[in-house]
Amino acid sequence: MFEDIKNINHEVHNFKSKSSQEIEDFRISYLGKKGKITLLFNKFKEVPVSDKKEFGKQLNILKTAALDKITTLKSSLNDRPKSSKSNLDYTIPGQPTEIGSRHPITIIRDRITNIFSQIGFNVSEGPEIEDDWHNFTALNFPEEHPARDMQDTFFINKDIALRTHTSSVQVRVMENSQPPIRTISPGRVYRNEAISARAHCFFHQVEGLYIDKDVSFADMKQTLLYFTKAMFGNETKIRLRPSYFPFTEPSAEVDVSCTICNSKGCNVCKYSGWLEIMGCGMVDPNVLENCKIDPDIYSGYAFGMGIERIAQLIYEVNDLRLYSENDLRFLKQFTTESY
Amino acid sequence: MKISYNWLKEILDFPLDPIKTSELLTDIGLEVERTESYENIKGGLANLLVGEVLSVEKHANADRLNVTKVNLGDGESHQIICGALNIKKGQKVVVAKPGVTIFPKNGEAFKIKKAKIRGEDSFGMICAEDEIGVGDNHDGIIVLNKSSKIGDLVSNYFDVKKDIIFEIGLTPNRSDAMSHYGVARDLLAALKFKKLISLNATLKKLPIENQQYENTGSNIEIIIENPNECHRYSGIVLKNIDVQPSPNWLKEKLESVGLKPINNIVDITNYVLHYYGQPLHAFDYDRIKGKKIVVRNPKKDTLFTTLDGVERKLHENDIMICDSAKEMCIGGVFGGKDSGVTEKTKNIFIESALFNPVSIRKTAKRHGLNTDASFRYERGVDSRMVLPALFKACELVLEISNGKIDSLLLDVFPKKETDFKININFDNIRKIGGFNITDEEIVSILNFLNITIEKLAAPLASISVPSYRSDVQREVDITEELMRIYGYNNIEIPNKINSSPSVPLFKSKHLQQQKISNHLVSLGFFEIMNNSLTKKSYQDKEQDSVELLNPLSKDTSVLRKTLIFGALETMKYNHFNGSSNNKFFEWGRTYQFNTKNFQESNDLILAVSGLQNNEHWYNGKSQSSFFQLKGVLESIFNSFGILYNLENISQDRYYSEGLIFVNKDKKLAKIGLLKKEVLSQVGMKAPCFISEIFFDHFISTTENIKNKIKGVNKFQKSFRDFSILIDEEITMNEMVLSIKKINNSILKSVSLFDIFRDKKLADKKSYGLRFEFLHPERTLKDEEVDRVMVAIQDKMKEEFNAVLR
Repeated sequence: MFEDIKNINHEVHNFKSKSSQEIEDFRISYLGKKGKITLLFNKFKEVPVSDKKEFGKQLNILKTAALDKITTLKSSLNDRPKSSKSNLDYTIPGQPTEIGSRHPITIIRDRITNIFSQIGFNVSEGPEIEDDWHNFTALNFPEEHPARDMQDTFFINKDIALRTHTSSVQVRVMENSQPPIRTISPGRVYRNEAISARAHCFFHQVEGLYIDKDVSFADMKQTLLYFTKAMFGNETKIRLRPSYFPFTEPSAEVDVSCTICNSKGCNVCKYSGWLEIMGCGMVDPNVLENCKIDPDIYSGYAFGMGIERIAQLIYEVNDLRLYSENDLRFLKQFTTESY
Repeated sequence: MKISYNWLKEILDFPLDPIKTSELLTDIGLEVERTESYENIKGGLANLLVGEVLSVEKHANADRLNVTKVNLGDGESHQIICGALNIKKGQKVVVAKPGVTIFPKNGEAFKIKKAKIRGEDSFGMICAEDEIGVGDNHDGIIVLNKSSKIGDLVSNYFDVKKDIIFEIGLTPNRSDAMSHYGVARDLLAALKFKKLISLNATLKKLPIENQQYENTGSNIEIIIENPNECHRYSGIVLKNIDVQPSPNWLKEKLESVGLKPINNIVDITNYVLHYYGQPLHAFDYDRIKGKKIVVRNPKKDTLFTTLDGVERKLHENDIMICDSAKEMCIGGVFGGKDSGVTEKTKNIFIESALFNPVSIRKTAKRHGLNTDASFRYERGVDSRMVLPALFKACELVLEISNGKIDSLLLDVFPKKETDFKININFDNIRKIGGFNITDEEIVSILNFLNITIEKLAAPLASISVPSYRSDVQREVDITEELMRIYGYNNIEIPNKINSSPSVPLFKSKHLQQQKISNHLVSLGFFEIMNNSLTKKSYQDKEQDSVELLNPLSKDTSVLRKTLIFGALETMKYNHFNGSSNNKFFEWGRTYQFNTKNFQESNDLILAVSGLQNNEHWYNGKSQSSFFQLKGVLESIFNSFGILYNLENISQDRYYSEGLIFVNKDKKLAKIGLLKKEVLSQVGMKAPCFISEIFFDHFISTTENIKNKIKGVNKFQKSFRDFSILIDEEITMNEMVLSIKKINNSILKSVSLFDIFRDKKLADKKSYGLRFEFLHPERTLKDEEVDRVMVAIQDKMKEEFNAVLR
């Protein structure tokens, strides 16, 4: 019987075919109900106990070989053009699965959030209807600061206004927790500005805050360089310029090398090669004290950027009004974005 | 603020070109936002050549034109058509060849082209004064001096001056740099630290008191009523001046920084302001009644006419400069019409004063004025500059208006400023900056900034900061000063990131929001973003509306209470613009005032209208529907495992009919059709379906959901179907609730696989229901399942009069 296996194996090995009919015939004559291999399986009970194990093993190998042969031959047949094909037009579109898109501002917001999440920042939020303390006083805005004027801020009553920046969330986080604090706060902010291509009465910011022992300006530079590279590409450079914000000291403005012209000089960077993207600085000791954090023990940095500004640089969209117009012809272009 | 490169060079001889200068200024915090070039003659006469007129002949086809031949020294004879009456053979003239751009005094620059004028070729233009911007004369062409060299550049024969002007975006803390002198002073410190200039280099010396007093009896008495508002008031009387146009150098200086020359006296005060940052004001001495200057507040509502001719009502807190009778000038802000210098003025009193910055800001604001003087006073002016500025003005008046000093120096200085004493620790500075600045570097930067070190025991030091740096009063301010001059960009970035993660204070919802957004996007929804400020007419009850005190417009005067109107406006907008098949979603806050508190909620709105998809062979035109949107809504609930009960919407502000998804008395979502009046408020005409998810409530129900993964129940499921005939009023929800009450542990789900309606059924409908059964521990026996099915059938019959079909 082992001889039978050997012979059949030989036949299987040598079998050649040109048509599916022949292959089917082959299958029936070897593996069909009365096929040669099937018959051998039926003879299994006749095999002496001592040989059963070996016989079973070889028989299985044979069956597998036969099946493989069929599969290989069939697939080689399929490669050739069929003479009799169906009339189905496979090129018509599939069932409709339309895809939408996220809004560019939320795409950019989530990208920013993800980048900072990767280096240990959590996400916090705060109210948009904000009191004077959180929006101005705690942030060290002098009593007479122009930002407090009616002209820039939407007021709801004497003490309550729509927040003019997400920096107010800094204060709320610091008031409610002790260092280490490492958080970013994306959100909507408002300014009393006439709506035009370059200004809107509402827009979005992301605020960042890191407070702990031994946090330095150099640490801030590093985090911001990491961010800009992650956002705009590994070749991006940053430049810091001394600036002024009431709630940070020292304060700086951050420029990135122009992403649009690769710093060669273009309209967007006003031929300077640099684009202003955010403000930052070391949290002013007065702000820490206002939030009951001891500035002799802790220090930290804060930064803030406009999401629309980042989106403008990524997408080169220069009219802010497009963002709230919600024109499908605009929104559809973001279908291919990843976030 | 405009700063001239040449002017800086007059104050400090430094070796940087304009580009390097602009970079360094930006690096030290005086950001150059823009550079412009200034030319006293627009275009600088570039490429204009001296030509000699070889011949002049009448144009055959034009009486007023001549055909000339001009020698430009290149060996050729250039034919140019010219209409000027004064042209003559042998003249030396200004020629613009084809391709040269000329800059007329009035109007746009243009490029000269080869032309054919009435049949004759013309290769260029012979220019008049106004055509090249050197004057206003258009009576004829310019005739140059005979000695002018043929073919030479015309610019060699005119006084062409060029300058680079930096537009500096000055931050409000830098009151020390509101002048050319102040900018040069800061530049010097940086140049010294960078070793780009000798350590001995100094700024041009400040003017000192002029000793040529010739007091013939003119005098002024100065009275400051409130020293808190006017800290210093100085002045000098000058007699016998000639008020006339300024000399060119002064006009050009002012023009270069964007000022319009007026007359020599006004120009001098403006010049000194931009030079030293000290505002000056010149009064007509003869109009000062009682020869008294009183600095005081006016009576409320006093009328006062300012220089611009506008009559203003004064506020009782305005600071006014008055004579013995009445107001002459709004101190530090704007002069008065009746006290200023005119062409007839012969004698003047020049004021150099210091005012309280806050008072000036309030005064300027009240009158809607923003002048060069108020800009500086608001931010703080240096008391040390009051007298040098006055002396400089006197010097110039003597020089260019023939005047004579005719009073002693008057100087009332009730509120002296002192330098700021600070104790600093160099180690703290290094720690905050994260940089390795040496003790020596710190000491030298402090010196360069004119900060006196009174005691030094490194790392400790006691220092004294000059009063003009009003922004430098603490150790941390010194840190900024040191870092600024050291260079923010020279601070090295460490190799390792400094990060100490903190546990989130507020549980952020953004990941859940992302999950829903991605789900919706893959269902074909587009995310939109609307203004949270909206029309008041969209609000129902006013007492819970959040309204702005100072809205931008009527359309943005309240905060939205619902996202519905924004979604409707978006659909209407897109319908109008040709996209009528819409699926939108928006995340946004809604705002309400609840008796004492302002409340902000996070909502999600879904809105569909038009076709579900663009027309397609597979499913043709299927219209948006309630059940399409309900399916989406259900899938959102299912993707968080949130259970809900359904309630019918009744008495809703926005919906005419629909459902509320409820979980433990909390409304998590609404879905339905909007009322006609809501749609017509926006003007939305196409049918649409809306769903709102009240996300704060929605997500709070997930806090208690623990998703326990249990492995797989491999016992066989059993299914039973039946179709029942019920009245139209009976809802699926009612039936499911009733079936749930049947006591058993094996019924896993009820689903609706078919709905059948037919005329023969009259007011009834047939629902095909499928029941799924499963036992946790074993395979179910048919009898067990049948028992429950019988119970269900009985219940249906009993409660809903249902008949099995």
